Amino acid sequence: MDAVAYIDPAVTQFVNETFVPVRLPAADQVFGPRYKVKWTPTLLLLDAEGNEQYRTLGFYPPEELIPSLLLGMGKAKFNLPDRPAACDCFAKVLTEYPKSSLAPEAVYLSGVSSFIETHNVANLIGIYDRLDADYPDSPWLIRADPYRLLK
Amino acid sequence: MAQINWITSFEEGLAKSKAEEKLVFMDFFSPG
Repeated sequence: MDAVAYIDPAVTQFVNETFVPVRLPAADQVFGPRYKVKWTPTLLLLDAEGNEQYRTLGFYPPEELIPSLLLGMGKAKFNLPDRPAACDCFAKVLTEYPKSSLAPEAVYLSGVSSFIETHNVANLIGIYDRLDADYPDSPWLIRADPYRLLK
Repeated sequence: MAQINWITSFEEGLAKSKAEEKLVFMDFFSPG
């Protein structure tokens, strides 16, 4: 991460402006066990109480790290629950990083968040249609398959 | 070259998170 992602100007700016970046060795004797860190790198998003809101493992290239963190922010907002803010995060993944491997999950989560907010099943059908059209090889299309039946 | 402004204290990070109303981006890394 140090050699590639963390020296990328877009990543540096995004992380510094969006989060409070904290770095600890995975072997930290207090926080390693507290957050059940078994792999490196383990990347977490925590709220101000230290509660884990998002976890991802492994190395990311710069163009995948930002959408991953946007997805995590969306999940954190969803958990509050602040679903409109969550949808904004998911939408940002789709508009700014539509070719990201995280984009299909953003389609799914955006549609579900919108459905919970509006109770409009068109949001669920829209998940299937968008995944089928734009990300037909994604496993998220399989998860969205039941929404096809709502047509 | 710009760098990420890492904080190396968990407590300091949480305090800043509260003050600035931002999420903490936590990187557990393997030194070396």
